[in-house]
Amino acid sequence: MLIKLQGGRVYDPAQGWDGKITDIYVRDGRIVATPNANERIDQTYDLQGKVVMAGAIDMHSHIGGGKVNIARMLLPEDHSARLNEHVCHAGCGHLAPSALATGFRYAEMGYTAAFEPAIAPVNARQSHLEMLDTPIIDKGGYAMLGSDDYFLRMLAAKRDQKAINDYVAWILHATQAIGIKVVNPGGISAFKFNQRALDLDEQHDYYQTSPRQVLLALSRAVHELGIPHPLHVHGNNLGVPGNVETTLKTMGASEGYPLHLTHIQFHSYGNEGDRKFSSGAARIAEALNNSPHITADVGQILFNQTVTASGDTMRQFANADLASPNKSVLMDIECDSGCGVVPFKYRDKNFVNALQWSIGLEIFLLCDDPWRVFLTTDHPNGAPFTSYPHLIRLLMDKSFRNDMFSKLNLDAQSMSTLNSIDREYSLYEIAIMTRAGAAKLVGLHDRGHLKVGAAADITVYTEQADKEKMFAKPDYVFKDGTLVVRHGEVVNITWGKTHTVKPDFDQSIERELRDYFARYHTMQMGNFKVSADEIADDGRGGIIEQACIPNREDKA
Amino acid sequence: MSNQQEDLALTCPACGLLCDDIRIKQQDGHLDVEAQGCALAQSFFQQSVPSAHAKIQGKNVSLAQAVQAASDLLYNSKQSLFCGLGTDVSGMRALLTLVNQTGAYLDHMNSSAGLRNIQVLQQHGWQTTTLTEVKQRADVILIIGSHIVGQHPRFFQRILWQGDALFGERLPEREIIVLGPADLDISVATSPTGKAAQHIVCENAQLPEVLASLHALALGKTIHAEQIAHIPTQTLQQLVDVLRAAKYSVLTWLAKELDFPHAELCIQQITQTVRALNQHTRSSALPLGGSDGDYSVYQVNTWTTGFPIRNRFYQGNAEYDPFHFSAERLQDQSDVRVWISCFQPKPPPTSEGKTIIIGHPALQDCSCDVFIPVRIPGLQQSGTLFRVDSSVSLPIQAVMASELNSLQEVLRQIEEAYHAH
Repeated sequence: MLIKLQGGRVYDPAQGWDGKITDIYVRDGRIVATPNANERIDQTYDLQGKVVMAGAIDMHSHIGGGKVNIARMLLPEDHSARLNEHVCHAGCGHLAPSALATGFRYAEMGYTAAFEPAIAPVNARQSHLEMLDTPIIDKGGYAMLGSDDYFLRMLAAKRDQKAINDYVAWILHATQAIGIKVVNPGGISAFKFNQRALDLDEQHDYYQTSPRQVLLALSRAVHELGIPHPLHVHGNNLGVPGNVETTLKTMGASEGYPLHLTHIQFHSYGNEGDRKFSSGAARIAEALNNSPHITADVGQILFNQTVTASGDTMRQFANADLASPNKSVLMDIECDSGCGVVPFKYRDKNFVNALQWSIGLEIFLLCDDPWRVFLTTDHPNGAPFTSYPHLIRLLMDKSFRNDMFSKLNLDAQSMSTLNSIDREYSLYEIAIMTRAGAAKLVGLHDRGHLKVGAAADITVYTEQADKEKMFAKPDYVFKDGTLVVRHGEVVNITWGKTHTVKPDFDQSIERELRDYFARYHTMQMGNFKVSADEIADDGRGGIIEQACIPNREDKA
Repeated sequence: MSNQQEDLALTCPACGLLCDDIRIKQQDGHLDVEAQGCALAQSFFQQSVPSAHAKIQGKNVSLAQAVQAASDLLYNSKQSLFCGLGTDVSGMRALLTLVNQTGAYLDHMNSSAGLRNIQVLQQHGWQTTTLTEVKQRADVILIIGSHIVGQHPRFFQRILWQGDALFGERLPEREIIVLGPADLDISVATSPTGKAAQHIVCENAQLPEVLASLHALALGKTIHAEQIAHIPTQTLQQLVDVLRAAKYSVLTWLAKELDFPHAELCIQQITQTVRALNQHTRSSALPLGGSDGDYSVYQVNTWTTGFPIRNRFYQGNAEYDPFHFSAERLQDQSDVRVWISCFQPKPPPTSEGKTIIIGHPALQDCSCDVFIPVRIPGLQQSGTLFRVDSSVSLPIQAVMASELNSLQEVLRQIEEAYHAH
């Protein structure tokens, strides 16, 4: 079947197309070259005046796994509202939507892929099970390392980098992940030993290793194995006033190896002013602009009820007293990781929340390079992903942004430079952040662009002055060439695939790992590993292996 | 499956611990548990499975006829109830697809116990841990209400005593304290080195006041009474002192054993005590229990509908009510009841209405309107189960051939027939 998307205004930053009026052809799920004049076109969509982009990619969104399911279970009130009149299967929720609702809501906004950023390796099977039940979109995840006892033992024993690289590669295979994440490096483990804080150069009481060492070893492993996505870092001291210093130091901790600093808004706080809480956005943006090896996503907060779900047990324990409603779940997990789920309500009249909102937007607007900063709310931690259209409007519409700013807590307004920033994001820049840049960052070689040969994940919008309305309801969304959404409503249910990387490694390390599991764990190594058959799910799912290009010799 | 070849060990679905080190020997179609098994594992793996046939009103029929009869009953039903729900992840996924079409009430056979815990989580949250953390870190374990081994025969041996230490030279020489009835045989908790458990005698009916006092003491409050339910207050204070001095204490219970009204409030006292202890040292709760796929059913239902269990499906919406949607309350209000029990031949409670049984082949002699035998997961059918600590899920294997279909396949066929109406 040959489909022609005719005459749309195409924003495809990977090809430098900034609103180029052109036709796009789709066959068998892929974008193809202009066919011969005598080939029959089965279906034509007249897209004159419409905006065409690749399907959007959310590179950091908590969509599946233990803590997401805890968040669902913790908040039955979130699921009682009947929000899904046209959903063909029971399943709802807004802050922590069901797997099915997650796929629907993403597709309805023109997103065709989302990545779970915190797969606890021991919980990888559950993450994948939930993502397999998430329709339409492609998915994948980053495996959490850095507080697991196997890695910390290696680091404390000063094992060589090759051994660490082999373990990192093994974890990627075992968890069917596409990247490596570190959360509060070493801190989740330190909390189990009753440490309540851990700064970048502080020692873990038991292992006598520092977060800096964890970051260096893991970022080097990721780089040397050729994993496209840089080490995904949730730094130390999340949410702590003054943590901007930790974040700036963290940028240097990898000694030049690429790092992705996630939800950087939560790590950009100064401790100035009467309330000892201030914006560190300008310093963070300047450092980002000057550090080509660093990328970041923002983790914007938006005002309303949400639920925070994180692997950072240490910081979530500290935040549990702020829970609203007043309940939280914290877990130590299997000498592997941890998690904390704390419901939260951000209020625009609250000084701290209002300033958090401003700090996020300041970072977006002060960072020069949209290829290195990404649009996230750290769903659901800053806000549910369904608020992305609102966030895009804040970035694209200065007068709207300033109207919102003028309603904030007055003390917070006086501490922010936001309304003096004139920048408005263009459609091209939005396409970089949410498509081309995100695909490049995650290592999705055939997604996020509309070149010949790419997967036909395509979103078509009607341009409107109100960008929130525009991005909330695309005219058409195609997933692998199938029309899945028309006028903002799902018309076809497909199931998407799971993106992974499979770097080469020395298989003989399994001998040591098998012994480790047998001696210290309560499950065997073989059962820890998630098999490709499990992801295939009797044919409904499947693995896409994205390429790695090893860099064992050189350094960034 | 590659996992099997690597480890040559099976995962036992008989209780929530999901021990995955069970070695069996296969001889003449009969399985023998060779090593690591407990009584529950033996009775699961060594069961002789009768050959069974689909039946309508007790008479043998083809699978297609039974499927048609089941779908007819569901199609003509005004309100159906799916209960038992002894199944694994795949079975539950298939079941949810079906009830989304048919509409139904949904409840698991263990949910009375399960919801005692879930209600605490939903009201207040909690701080918990998992089995490997317990093995490696717990230096004080307070067991409340029972001695665990009735439900989890290998709890002490496999989780506490077997294996090597990650931190330090040896696994912690643990203090085990049992707060439970006088008739408990706590010698089961004596360690291989001869260290005996301490027994603080407390009948389960008195746990609410004892645990509330323990919580108060953990918060640093003073109790003026000299005794709480015949236990000297000083004994409770000493217990709190031990918990406070511990590096990593674990407070554990079996919700099933706390079988008295509003036991959830009692469990909440335990979890709040953990919270209080964590202000200074580390402590975690460990809710134990589980069988018949209950944890898997709660997990799958939660990611599919947002709710753990006890639901009503109506016109594509799921509702949740841990009180009103109990199978016990609803079984006489619903006109068709579907009882599912795949791991064990557990019969449904007697009921007036029409009953469809889908499950273990040995259920074939139960009186019902339609019976469809299916493969036993973990014995005849591979799949996935969640362990009691929820973070860990494990593959279960098929080690015995079966002519039958899996539950998910039968449910798929019923759904197809239902659509054809």
